[in-house]
Amino acid sequence: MPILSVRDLTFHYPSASKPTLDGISFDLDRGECLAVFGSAKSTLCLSLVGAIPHLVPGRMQGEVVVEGVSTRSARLAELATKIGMVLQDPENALFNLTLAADVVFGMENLGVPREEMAARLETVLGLVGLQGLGGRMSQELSGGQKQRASVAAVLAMQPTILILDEPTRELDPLGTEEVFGLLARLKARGTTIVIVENDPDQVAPLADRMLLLREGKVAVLAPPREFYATVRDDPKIRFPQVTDLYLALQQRLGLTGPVPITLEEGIQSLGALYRQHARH
Amino acid sequence: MAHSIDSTPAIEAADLRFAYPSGVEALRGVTVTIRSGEFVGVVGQNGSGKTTLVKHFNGLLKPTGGVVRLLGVDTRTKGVAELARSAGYVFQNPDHQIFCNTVREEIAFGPRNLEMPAAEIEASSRDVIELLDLQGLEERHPFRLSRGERQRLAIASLLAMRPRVLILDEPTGGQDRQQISRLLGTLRQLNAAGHTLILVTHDMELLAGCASRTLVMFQGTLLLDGTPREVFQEVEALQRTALTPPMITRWSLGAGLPGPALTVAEAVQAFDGHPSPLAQG
Repeated sequence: MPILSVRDLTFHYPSASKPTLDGISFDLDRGECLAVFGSAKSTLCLSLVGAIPHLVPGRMQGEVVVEGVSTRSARLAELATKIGMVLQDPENALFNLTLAADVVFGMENLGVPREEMAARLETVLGLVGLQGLGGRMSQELSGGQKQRASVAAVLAMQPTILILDEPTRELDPLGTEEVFGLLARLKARGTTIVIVENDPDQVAPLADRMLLLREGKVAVLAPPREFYATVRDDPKIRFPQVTDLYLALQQRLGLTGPVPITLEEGIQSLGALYRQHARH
Repeated sequence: MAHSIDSTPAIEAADLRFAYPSGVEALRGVTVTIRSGEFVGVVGQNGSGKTTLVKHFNGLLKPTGGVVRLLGVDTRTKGVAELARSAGYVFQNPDHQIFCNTVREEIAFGPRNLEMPAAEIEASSRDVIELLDLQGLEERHPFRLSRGERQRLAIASLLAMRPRVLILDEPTGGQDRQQISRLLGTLRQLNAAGHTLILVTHDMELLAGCASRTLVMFQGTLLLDGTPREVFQEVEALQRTALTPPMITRWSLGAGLPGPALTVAEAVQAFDGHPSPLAQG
């Protein structure tokens, strides 16, 4: 059984003339990572965590089922233990004095017992690589540490699905590496991930499938190699540069092998090809 | 007259130091000269001093040691408003600088403040609206624009004052590939028209595609200064700053091309047997 199931999801903001999401369907298995591109990405994220229909005004049709529970009938507190959302700007998730206080905040709201909270705090700080820093002032953390702290606050509620809407937009390259390193570790532990992210070098190796939304509909849903080959003419999507290079050479050189999506794959396939060409 | 202006460097910083009131030293002696008409990229991790550095270029910050000259003028001798005629600063978050009720008013605000004649304001506004692709949005409230449109509006508002130097702090946040490439086209056009451009960015692909010179900041000092091709070959120094050259550059070095490619187009050319730009090293 899929861990997350989206069935014919349609959402209409009150003032809009057309639905923003228009008949979206897909399933995710445990431990799978889906990267989302195109329009209405944030609206989709809000629907997955139940903010739509519970908090955001508008008309929702269809269904989002999280671990067998429909978001429509579930309470938000119940959903928070199944599916958690990491915000774009970590500052919005860190408003207490210390890192520890920020991380336990969500658990307190869920009424998690005190001893259990302390244990979970230690676990999640270790998981995001911030062990021993619980007493630190949140505002003194680096950008990457802050975003990992906001992931920790969500993880403390023990969701099996993590939604991230441009989690590295405010981060520098080092912070970005840290966050994606963490996501790879979480995925390996079985966390299901839905992510909106423009940086192709980071997201291509992490994602199992990629989803392109156009005018609120599913335009493409495929594994990365197939996805990039399918959307090759979409001017808005950024590709890993080795993928770009492969696609640029494909027709001219009659390339038929798999599309490379990481640096290592690119060096292997296109590097060999270059050396053949250089000899002539 | 034009000649004398061009021979004056756009920016000169000599042993520039800056300490916050708390005593934290953000810049620890930076010396750099940016010639008029250059397109310079500034990179470094958060906390490396890159934003502090460029905020000195238009007097938003004043040195606590050393000196900064903007078009030959010591920035400590003039107010920010006056320096704004020469150097415009586009903030990372466009919402920090947008405050008027329509796009048109927002664009005219700066020139009006500089007491430009009405006809000139009109002409300047028309130019920048066209250049930044804001036609049809003139009467729109800025907060009803998309993030990409607000970013372009922020640039347009500064350009309307016709500054010779334009400083942009992470201008591509929240924009897709098409918007980034349009913005790049605009920046190249401005540069070709004689504007000096200074671009602070984390995006090495963007930098490789436009800047003719790269400054790498590290712990308050200028660690590297060269063309992107030169800088990307400083593997060890870059590792210290935890910066990574674009994927295509790393690919070209791993695949054994004669030199580092800066763009996918250059890599494609190498397959056609045109290694010339790469061989220059």
